Amino acid sequence: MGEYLLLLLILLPLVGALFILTIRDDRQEDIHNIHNVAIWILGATLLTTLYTFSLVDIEKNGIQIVEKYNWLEFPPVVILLGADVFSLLLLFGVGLSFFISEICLIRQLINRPKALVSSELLFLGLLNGYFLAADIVSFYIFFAAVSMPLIVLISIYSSRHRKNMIIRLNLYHTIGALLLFIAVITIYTLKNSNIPLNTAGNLNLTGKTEYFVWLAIFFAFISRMPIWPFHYWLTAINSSIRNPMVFVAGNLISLVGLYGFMRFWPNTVPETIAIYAPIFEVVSALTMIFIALIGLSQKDFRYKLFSYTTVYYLFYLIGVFLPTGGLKMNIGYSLFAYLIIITVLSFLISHIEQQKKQLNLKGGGVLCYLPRTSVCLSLFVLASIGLPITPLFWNNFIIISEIFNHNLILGVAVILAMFLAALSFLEELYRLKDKSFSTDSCIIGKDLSDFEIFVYGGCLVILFFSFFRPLWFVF
Amino acid sequence: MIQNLLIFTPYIALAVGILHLVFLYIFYEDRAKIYSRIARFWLIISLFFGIVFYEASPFAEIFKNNAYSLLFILIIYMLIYHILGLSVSWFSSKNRTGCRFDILLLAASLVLSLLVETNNLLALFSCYVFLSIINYGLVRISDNKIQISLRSGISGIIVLGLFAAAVGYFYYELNGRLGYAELKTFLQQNPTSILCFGAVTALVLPFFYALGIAPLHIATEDKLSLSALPVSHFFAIVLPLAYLGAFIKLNIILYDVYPDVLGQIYLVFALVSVIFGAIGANARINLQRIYAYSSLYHLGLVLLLLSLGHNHTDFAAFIYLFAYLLSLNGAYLVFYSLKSHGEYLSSITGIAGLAETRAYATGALSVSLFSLIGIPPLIGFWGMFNFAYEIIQAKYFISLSITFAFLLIMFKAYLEIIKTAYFEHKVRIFDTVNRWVLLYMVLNVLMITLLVFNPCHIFERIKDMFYVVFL
Repeated sequence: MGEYLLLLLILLPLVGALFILTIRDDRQEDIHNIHNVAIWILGATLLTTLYTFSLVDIEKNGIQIVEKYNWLEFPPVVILLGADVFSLLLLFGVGLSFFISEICLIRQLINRPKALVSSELLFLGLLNGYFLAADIVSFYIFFAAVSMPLIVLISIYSSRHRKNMIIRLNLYHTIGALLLFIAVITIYTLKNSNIPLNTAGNLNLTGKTEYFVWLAIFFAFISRMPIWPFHYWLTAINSSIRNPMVFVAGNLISLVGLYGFMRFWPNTVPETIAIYAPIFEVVSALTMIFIALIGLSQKDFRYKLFSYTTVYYLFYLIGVFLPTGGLKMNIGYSLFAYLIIITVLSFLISHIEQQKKQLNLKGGGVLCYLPRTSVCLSLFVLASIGLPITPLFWNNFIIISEIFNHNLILGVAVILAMFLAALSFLEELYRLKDKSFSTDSCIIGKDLSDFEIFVYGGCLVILFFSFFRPLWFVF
Repeated sequence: MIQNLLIFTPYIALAVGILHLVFLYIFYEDRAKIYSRIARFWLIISLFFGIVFYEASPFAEIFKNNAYSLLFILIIYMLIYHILGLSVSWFSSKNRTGCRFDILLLAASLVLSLLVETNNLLALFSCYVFLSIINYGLVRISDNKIQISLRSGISGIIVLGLFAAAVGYFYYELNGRLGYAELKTFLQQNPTSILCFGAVTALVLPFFYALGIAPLHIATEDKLSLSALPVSHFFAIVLPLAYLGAFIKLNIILYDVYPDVLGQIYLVFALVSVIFGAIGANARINLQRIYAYSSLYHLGLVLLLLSLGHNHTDFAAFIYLFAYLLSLNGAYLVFYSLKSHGEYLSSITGIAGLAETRAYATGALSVSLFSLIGIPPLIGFWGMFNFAYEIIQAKYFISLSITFAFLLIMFKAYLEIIKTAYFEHKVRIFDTVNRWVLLYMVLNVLMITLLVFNPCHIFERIKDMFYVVFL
């Protein structure tokens, strides 16, 4: 089994998705079965990730587990899968995020559960493949493939009014995928073989080819991130998704772009291209402030959450672009906590939205009727803005200090954007807790169940342990 | 003597199959599934003997059987088998026996195998004529037969006249010896003759017409969009493969003598086809017509690969077409499940809200459309990978830019279909899907998703079989 461990991490969710497609979904027990299968599959994936983690030396950098698969003889393609601490950490973080989502979802009535769960598992399998891809061809394959289940998920669960926007977003993503495809095939043709991802910087490309290849790669990853001036479609669609799990999945599109940059940018990009990085840093910082301001002006909590996630993704992206190479693991640790926090917040917001609808409350004050939800939301909102008991605080602190070290104005811009995002969250939290909005003390909302409290409490425990020892779960 | 007789068994089996169907028709059998079963039975018998005697040729100078022809025959027969099986539900819903369709498909199988096997210009022309007659017969099955027959009839006669003139010219010049080897020698001796080049062009154009390459696509577009569903299915996925099989064989000889000029001609036709296909698909609302234009686009890419004129680019063209046909087949299979009150639907509005009640059909449709665009890890990606690899290697960057720009336009047409299926409100109640259609759909989706992983090194085997044509 050891030889096929990485392949197993990709195949497990895919097989689960196929299995779920064969289950009927017209009775309540069948729907329960679908969720149970998903939980078992996600649990098995998490355990396999932990086992894989136990095989690597967490002190070492670089890929430590490699699997090689012959795919085609002509054109010759050998697929390489590889795992390092960073990719395994992301794998575990995303897996955990989906596991928490699935556990929270099991008690909720959702529209078309089979489509949701199977697409989610398909998405996870392909995303695992993306994190484990160690050569340029497989990297492209998974990069383009992850968009497929997302299109289905977004098409089913986003607002019908956004249908034309979804078409535009998909076309935009396809442009990104085609650009990466052309870049990959160009590299492949020049080298006459598939090359490992970490050697992409040593290609010795020259002139127009060098510019074309690296610009294509750059725009391909940009297409997955809501960066000005291409931010509108992704922003509009993601912020309109009401299903908490689909919101989490949609939010991971940006992670795909970020991971692409992390794999290519810090070490492999040649100097002739890397000199343009500051321009991009400025655009990212401006986008951060712009989106944070929009989040502050919005009344919708989910939009605020989306604006917060975007600000943080761009913050990590600026961290990636810094000339210092040592921030990779800090970004990884911070991302791990961030994924858990976003997942829990997405479900809490969904719960609050439902209760507001049921209690027919238009303004704030809903948390006055939901004391458990209020405590949970407060803790996670504080954790999201950097409460010093989560790894988000410590690692973000290091990244910010490096940004300041690199460029003072950039640091100020980043801090400003993060402050605005935090302010927008705190303002909304205050509004939801504000007693002046609660008109009737006899209203009793449906608060979080013991089980949900247990799950969210567990998430806090994970975050707490990660604060002291980021890889505490590795034995 | 017995051995010589056995070599004929693949053809005899098909002829017996036709007679069997005629015999049944005379005795008033009225169940479509019986006709279909019998046709499939004889098709399988023919295929079995075709595989057993794959290197034996009845008239070796005219029809040369080898692994290359077997490869095409194998795929063509499997596709025809599959269409015969699916046609039952269509004919049953129309209270028709489908006998004529089954007979014509068996006859088409016979002629298509000869078309791929032939090494002789006259035999090629004869097969082309017979196939045109069979196509005419198939078109007559549809409800819009007059409109289609008029258009395709006139254009078909012009093209046949052109083909006949070219064959006549070479017949005159070669004193009646029209083997490919003689043709090659003659062309090599007269590389500058304008008349000779004109005749070569006249040989190429009928294939462009048959493949539906723009601007010679009007008849093909009509045939694909207005024909009865099983007929359109046959035209869309079987004929291009057979014509390509025959064309590659002929092209090896022609291209060898006029590499530059023919390469340029193919390139122009290919790019025109790509542009027409992508724009046309966005301007249509009939699903079959959208697929007709989509085939224009994809066959344009195939021709672009053929314009490069190497062994590996010809193989890449075959691979691209194979991947495309498999994906298109998936899209066609969804048509068989789109029935409302006994009527098959083909308009894009007919699939509004399909995802609400036919999740599997919508899923299969989405997978097929994603594969047509070349999104990994579906079979279409393999075709696209080969295409991009060959084009970049040939440094055809402008052509690549054009094809990819129009791929996005093409994708918009596909996204409109997906949007209608997922977002629009349901306007019809769909009939229950036939379980065989569902089975075929699942199998096709599995093939689209799993074949790309090269199980049992299938592509290496296909490559070995294909490369026999260059020996």
